[in-house]
Amino acid sequence: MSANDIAEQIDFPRQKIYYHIKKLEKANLIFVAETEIVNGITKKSYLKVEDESDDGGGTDQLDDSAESGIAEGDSEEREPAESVEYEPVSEEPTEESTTRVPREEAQVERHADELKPTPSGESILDKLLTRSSSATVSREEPLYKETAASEELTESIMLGDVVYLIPEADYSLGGIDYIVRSAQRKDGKRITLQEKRSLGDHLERLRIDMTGESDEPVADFTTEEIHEEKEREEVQKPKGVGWGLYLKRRLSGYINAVTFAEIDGKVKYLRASITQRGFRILDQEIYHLPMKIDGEPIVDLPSLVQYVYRNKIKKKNWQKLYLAYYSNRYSFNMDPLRTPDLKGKELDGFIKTSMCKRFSVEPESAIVNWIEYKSRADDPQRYFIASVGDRSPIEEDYRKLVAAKIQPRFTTSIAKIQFDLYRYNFPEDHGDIILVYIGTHRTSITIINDWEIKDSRRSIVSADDFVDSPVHESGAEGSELSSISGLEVGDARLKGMVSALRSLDVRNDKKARAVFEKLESEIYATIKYFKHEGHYLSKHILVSGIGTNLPNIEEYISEDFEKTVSKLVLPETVQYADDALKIEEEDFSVNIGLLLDPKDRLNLLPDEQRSNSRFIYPLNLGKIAAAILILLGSFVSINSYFEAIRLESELKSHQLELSTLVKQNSLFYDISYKLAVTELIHGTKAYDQYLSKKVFQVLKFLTSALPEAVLFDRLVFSKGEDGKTPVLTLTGRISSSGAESNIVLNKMMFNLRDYEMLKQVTLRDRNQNTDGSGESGTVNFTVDLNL
Amino acid sequence: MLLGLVSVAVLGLLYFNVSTLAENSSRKGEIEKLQLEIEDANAKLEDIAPLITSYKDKTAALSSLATVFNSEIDYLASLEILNRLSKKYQISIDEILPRLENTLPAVQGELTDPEYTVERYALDLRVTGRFLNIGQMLDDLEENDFAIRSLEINTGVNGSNVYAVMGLYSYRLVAK
Repeated sequence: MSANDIAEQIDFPRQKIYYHIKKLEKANLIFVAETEIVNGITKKSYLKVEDESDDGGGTDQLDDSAESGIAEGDSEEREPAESVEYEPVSEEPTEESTTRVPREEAQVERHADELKPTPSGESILDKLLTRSSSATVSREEPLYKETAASEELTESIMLGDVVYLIPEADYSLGGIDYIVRSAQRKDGKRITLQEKRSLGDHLERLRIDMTGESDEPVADFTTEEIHEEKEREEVQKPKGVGWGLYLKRRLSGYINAVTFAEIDGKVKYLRASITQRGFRILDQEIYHLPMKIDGEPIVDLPSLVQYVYRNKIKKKNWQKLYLAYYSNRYSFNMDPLRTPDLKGKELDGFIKTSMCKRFSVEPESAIVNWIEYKSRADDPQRYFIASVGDRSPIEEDYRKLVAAKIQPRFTTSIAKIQFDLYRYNFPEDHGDIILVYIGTHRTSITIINDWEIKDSRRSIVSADDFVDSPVHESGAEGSELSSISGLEVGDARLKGMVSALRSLDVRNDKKARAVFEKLESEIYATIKYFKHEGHYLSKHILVSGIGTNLPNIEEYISEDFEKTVSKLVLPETVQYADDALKIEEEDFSVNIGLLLDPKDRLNLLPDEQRSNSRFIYPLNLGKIAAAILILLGSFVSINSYFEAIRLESELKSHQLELSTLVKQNSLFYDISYKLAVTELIHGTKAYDQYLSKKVFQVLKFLTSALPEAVLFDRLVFSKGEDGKTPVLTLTGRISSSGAESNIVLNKMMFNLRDYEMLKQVTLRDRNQNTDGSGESGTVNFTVDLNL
Repeated sequence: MLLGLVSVAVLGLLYFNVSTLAENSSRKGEIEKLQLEIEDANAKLEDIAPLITSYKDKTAALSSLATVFNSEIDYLASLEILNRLSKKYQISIDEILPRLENTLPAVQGELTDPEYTVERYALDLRVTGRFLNIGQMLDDLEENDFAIRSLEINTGVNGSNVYAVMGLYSYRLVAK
């Protein structure tokens, strides 16, 4: 009897049966009696531990045997089983257990409720112990290499018309990863990520079918395995919020943004402006591809983008818009990566080569982008989360848009969008979360630790497994959506899927319950895998995607996983413009999620979008001008500042030099002064001697050169009133008869004036005495001689 | 808002740049002025060597300006030459009036380098004699380092004799 059969017989979720088997094992009521490897998965068979009150002794095997004591439904087994569930609280409390008591008490109460007798009079544990015949409840995955060498591709598998070479491996999660990473086309053509995705989906389907057929549970459902024992320290959220973030967004050119989220032909268009406090939605619309408007067929996302641009946005504003889109037609893979301590182009090349090698795709057919995470200072390795996308469909769409003069800026994976939404919606959180996106065709489970995407995995169990007429996946390899004739089909099915999901009761509807359990098992297995990989498992799960239309899905997952579960919705800071059309029933969170990372990390558009000057330059012309102005101003400022410092220094240096020189010059002035004094003494004596000599010379001249008739009465030499005008004053007389005295006087004056030693000769006084005869006689005179 | 921020930033930068450039211009002017002063000072430093040489020469020459008299008595004794000359030229000295007061400028005291201080004393003589003899005596006095400060000659006192009042300077070196 399989676990499924037990679940059906006792009308209880299958996963909880695994949980209770684990509990029984922990309580030493059963033990692993036999292990067997089936398809690489360890299958364990359990036997019941001999009860002291059981006279029959021995053990009963929990397997297919109808003769098992348990299977026979011995009612005596009930008491010990019930006491087992209460055992943890009766243990001696240790320090650790004491702190955990409230939680365990809560669990015990919950389990006790579950173990209460059902209306039929049997507890769940009774049912399990009496009816279960087989339960393989855990598995251990073998370890695989990252990628197989070409000579190891010994197996082949045909999918559609294509034969793929694959390595030998089991169909466990790790085994399928190994097969898909290594797979190559047998015809030697280049394999694309889209093909790998299809191959992976196929293998996943086989795995799930195989586990179902072999009564193998998809996963252990022991919630302890997806819980952490210890709380982690809070990690500070990376900076980049508030004004800084707003400014960065403005300068990065997406103050006005247009986003498209394409999921299976359903395209959600949203135009928004980014404000300081959040977002203002200006316009939104739902489109279904392919469609025909006014006779114009619109078959793909690029043509829809062009249509929206032409009809809703003025052409002059095209270049001012930030365009981001998401399409589930694009194949993305995300994986953590460690590299040596490389830098620059070496690092780029290493990451691209490593990721392409890891997914065995050609580097030229893939687009790779990554985020680096901080590592310890002493760690020689560098840590990244890298995304790899199929170049072909992304580039094709990109080129179509650029040809139409529309510049795309950003596209990324759903995991990154979910992460950005989480980061934006829960800024005060600890940075640890499990993100589950239940899409139409796939479910994406992403683990976030310390505000970093640590890993992301996909499962093919998804929303369309719940409905009878699933929407066919669109993709590069042809779908009915490429045909205009299928116009209404996709729309109707998508609308129908939402309605169908909303009407399901996953607890009571048999088929829905089975699918839901399968989905939970996939999520569970992935979370367990994350733990196995060393990631911290948060207590919280955020779910999103079309699958969240299932009624009470958060409640059910929370109940089964014993974690808090809530929906990841549109940020609260989103507001609608007054004239904006509001589509209440649709979730536009993916569109908003495309706008939340101002750095556009894990962008999987071709690199050339960053250097497309035709777009970047006009968009940022004003900002570039302002930046240049500020840069120039700053440059001049810095230059002036340093020039001022230099001049100030030079000024001080000159002042110091002058001060030194002035001190040295004081000696010059001192010597000059002393020299002047010395010269004054020399000069004084020389002048005295000169003057003496001159007086003596004049006296000699007077005695030898003057007429004999001239008689001196008095001769006075003085240096003048000011001491600087030496004067020799002669007072005398000329005694001649008649007019001769005058002649003699004149002659004397002539001679004196002719004498070169005298500067000036002045006849100051002259009078003539007359005798009794009346004739003229003696002439008295006074003459000043300036020496 | 962004425009406002950019405007504030640009205006701030403009203000800063204008004020800084003006200050720099002022600093440059000041530096140019200082450079001229420094050039001038350097030129003076270049001239100082010949100046010192000249000063040393002049200082050394001071000792040749006069005779060293270490005391007033020695100096007064040196005036004996007046008697000798008066006898030689048959001139009657009626009065000798020496004034022991240095008539050279006091700034000489600020000189520290010379060994001697040069001093100049005034001396008045009242003499009677023949005019020509007085002239010859004056000539001799000049040769003996006396300088005529003032002179008054009056004739007709006693026949051919004249009466003269001679104001003289005599120089003396005093050791410091």
